[in-house]
Amino acid sequence: MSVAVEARGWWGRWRAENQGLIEEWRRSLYRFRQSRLSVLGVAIIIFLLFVAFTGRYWVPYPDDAGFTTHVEIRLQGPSRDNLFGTDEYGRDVFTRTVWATQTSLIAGTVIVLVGGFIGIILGGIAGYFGGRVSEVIMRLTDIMLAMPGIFLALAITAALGPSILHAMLALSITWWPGYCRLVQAQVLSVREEDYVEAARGIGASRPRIIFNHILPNCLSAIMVKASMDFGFAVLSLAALGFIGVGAQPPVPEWGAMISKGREFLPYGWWYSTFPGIAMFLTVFGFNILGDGFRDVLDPRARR
Amino acid sequence: MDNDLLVEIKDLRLNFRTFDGISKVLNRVNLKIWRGDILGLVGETGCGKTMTALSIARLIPCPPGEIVGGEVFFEGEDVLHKTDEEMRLLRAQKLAMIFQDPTTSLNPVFTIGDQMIDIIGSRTDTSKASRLSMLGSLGSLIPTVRKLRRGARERALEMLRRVGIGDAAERIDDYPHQFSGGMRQRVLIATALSGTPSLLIADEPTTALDVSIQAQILRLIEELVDELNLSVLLITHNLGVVAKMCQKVAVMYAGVVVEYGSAIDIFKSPKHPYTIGLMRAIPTYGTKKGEIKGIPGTVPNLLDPPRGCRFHPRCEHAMPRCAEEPAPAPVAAGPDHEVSCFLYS
Amino acid sequence: MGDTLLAVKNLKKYFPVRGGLFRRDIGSIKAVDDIDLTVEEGQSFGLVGESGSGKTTVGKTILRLVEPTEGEILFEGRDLCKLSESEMRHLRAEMQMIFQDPYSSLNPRMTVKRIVGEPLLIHKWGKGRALEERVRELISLVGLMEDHLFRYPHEFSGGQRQRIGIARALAVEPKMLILDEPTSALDVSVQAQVLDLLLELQKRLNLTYLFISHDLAVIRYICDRVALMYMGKVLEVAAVEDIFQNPMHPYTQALLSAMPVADPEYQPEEIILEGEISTLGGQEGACRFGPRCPARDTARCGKEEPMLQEVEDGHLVACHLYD
Repeated sequence: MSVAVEARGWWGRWRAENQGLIEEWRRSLYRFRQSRLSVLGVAIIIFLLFVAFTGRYWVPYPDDAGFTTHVEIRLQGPSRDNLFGTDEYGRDVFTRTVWATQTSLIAGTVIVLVGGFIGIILGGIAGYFGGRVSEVIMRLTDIMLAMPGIFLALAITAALGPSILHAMLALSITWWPGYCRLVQAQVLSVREEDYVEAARGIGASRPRIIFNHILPNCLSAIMVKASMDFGFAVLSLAALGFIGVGAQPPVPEWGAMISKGREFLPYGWWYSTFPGIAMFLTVFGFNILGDGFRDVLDPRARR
Repeated sequence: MDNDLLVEIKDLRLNFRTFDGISKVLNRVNLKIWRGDILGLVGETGCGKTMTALSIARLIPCPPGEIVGGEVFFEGEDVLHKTDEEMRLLRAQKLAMIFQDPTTSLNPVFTIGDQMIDIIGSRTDTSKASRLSMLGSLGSLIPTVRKLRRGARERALEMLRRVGIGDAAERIDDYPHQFSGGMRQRVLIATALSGTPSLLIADEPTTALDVSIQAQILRLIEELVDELNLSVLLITHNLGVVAKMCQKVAVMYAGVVVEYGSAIDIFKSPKHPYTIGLMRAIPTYGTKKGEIKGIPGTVPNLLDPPRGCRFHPRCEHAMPRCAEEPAPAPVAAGPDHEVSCFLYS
Repeated sequence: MGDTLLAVKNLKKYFPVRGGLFRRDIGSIKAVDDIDLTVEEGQSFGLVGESGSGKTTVGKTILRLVEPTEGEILFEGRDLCKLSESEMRHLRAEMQMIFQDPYSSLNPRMTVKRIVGEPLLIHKWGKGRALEERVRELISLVGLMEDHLFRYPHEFSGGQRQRIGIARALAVEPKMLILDEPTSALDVSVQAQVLDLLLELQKRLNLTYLFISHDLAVIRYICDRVALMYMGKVLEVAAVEDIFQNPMHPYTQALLSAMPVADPEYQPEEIILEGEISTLGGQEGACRFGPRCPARDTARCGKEEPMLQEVEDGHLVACHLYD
């Protein structure tokens, strides 16, 4: 247990000062690695990130991401030239699927971040201050939860005009109720912990209590939800695309591609199938990652 | 084989697999419980008291637990080599157990009557037991089951009255949250003793209770022990309770029974340095300020216990051989008084 | 003994009980019902009682972690109840609390250094080097090691955690500590270590203790003066030896007799009380202990609430037996 605290350069000093933290991370990593499935989740996500951010440099037909037509090869099945086949304009489905990965991941991130941020703020306020403020916020949350978010998003996008940006925006502002609920419940329980009372006892101010004592102890639950949620955010965006209020042609987007491909399903199975598989992979990957997170961060598993 | 010997644990060794390594929870535990005795098992948190008790009922979760050596006999029968069904019957008919927290030992969604009837039912043979518990209250629609349940209910009422719940007939259909802590512990005692047990394992039965309620419960246990001719294994860290209740005491430290003897011997002439330290650590009647002394240091990590005697790093009499030689075997320090320490061998 | 450091007068804390469809107040739990306490400087004052007696609420109310319903809390002559929230925050440096459960009273996401250093930061004792020096000093004061500084609470045993809590409480040199069952979650050998530490610190730093506990042996070991609480009321106050040698209130007598003594040869005759403490307040205008009292006089005890009065020199009892 004893580690020499003598400073050997800044690295040695950093290690000595953060040995508790390092130990913590090593344990977490160990526990995470215990479950194969979550490691698979990480692998899937790393793969997706790689595809998303390098994809446009190595796809075979970068031009196909826009408005090009090759009528002579329209709706061809998978072949060596077109791994995932071609669509009704003769564009390469592989190129477009890869291209769409980036859109989906960025959109997912934005939606979860914005929604999470609003939710944490509102939930935090409701949980910590309680009383009438909490009543108002929580009833609003209830109303939002009672309404399917996708319909609201649909209405917003319809009003603003269909575009991928508007779809992201609409989903972001309908995404917070879940987080609000979660954070409020978490804050309520953490607030009753003795160490929060102890912090009040040493004279800590409200912001200090909230930011140093309450929120860090709610973080693990939020992270678990966010990682599980990410897949659903991607899915919802695709749903808007499917209905036609999300990404507009020619921008490649999984939902829109599946929707379009549906028309040609009887004789072009590949058109819908490959974007579908990509979507499945994303949702699946983030879900099992969330499971892994929960195993690592669950306070009951600690000690 | 001595007929008066109810439980004998010989050289029991138990490991627990954790993600930090293998925790050597019990290291050659030896323990005897004679018929009619109340044996106090004393020790600090994590010293293996509960695990020792659970090994008698073979209730240690395996995995992560693993019994690496030793034997456990109950009424002369080898507990570790019985089939699961034999064990279930043994637990149901011969063993009674009560635990520290009377709140979590009762299921909040069933009335105490239903819970007691289920357990009383399970004390009979399997076919009846499964019929009783699987059907639950619905079973009352079938005449034979109804008869069984009625019998069990009678028994439950009788036991509740016996443990001092006067208005048993009215309370039996109440839910656990309608009872106070002391009352819940009474219900649990009634349930545990509803069979024909010969051993009661009481694991910190009064730790969660207030002093005046503790006194009530201890008195109740004493009375029941006399009446039902029970032997008791009383696990506690409260030396006062031990002094009050027990004829025999076993002191455990870090997975080893370091001293065993009559209560008088243990309290009046303790031999093992740990027992001596423990006696010095408790304020009693008339202790003045500065007169008690803690044992320096902390309980060892069982993942990597000290070699030799597990107590030697905290022991003021530690000798070189305490760290070098394997753990000391128990030696007699008087009639029916055993101590595991190199000072006496 | 010295001057009065803390005086509590007519302290009341009622928790509303809400019920019905619109969550109206339908009554109240009288957790603390009109109590007076005087703690002198340098003294260890014990507050004893079973769970539900209101002793913890008294401690928290004095620190205004729970707002009192009524009454005065005079600390060095200043009424704490009249202070604004920010004035109170400053005053908290003078009075600190040690909690019962060492597992939940330390923030699991902070290192020992941050936990112990936090009060120093809040009360602007210093930063960087100076702060670190002070934290190291405190850590060694409570008997922990330097390389514990950067570890997280869950890596420590219960006794060590309680030491961390003590270091945090002592950081800004308070005059008074309110200790809420500081050793009841600890094992005996560790309990003795912590009690010794507390005694030593008291001598060294001239601290005043308000020691809350249900363990009479511990109270006797630590305290100079004791108040015994039952259902929000103080039933008996006396010097610690008086309480143990000459308990006057029937409840005190019963509690003392029921306290298990670690001596198999000396087992006093027990007075076993019937029934249990009830949380829902007793009958208005009756002795709260009446229903369980072995010496009750139904006519009087059921009609008239006994007042706390001095029966012997410095020995106060609230019981009709001594009227």
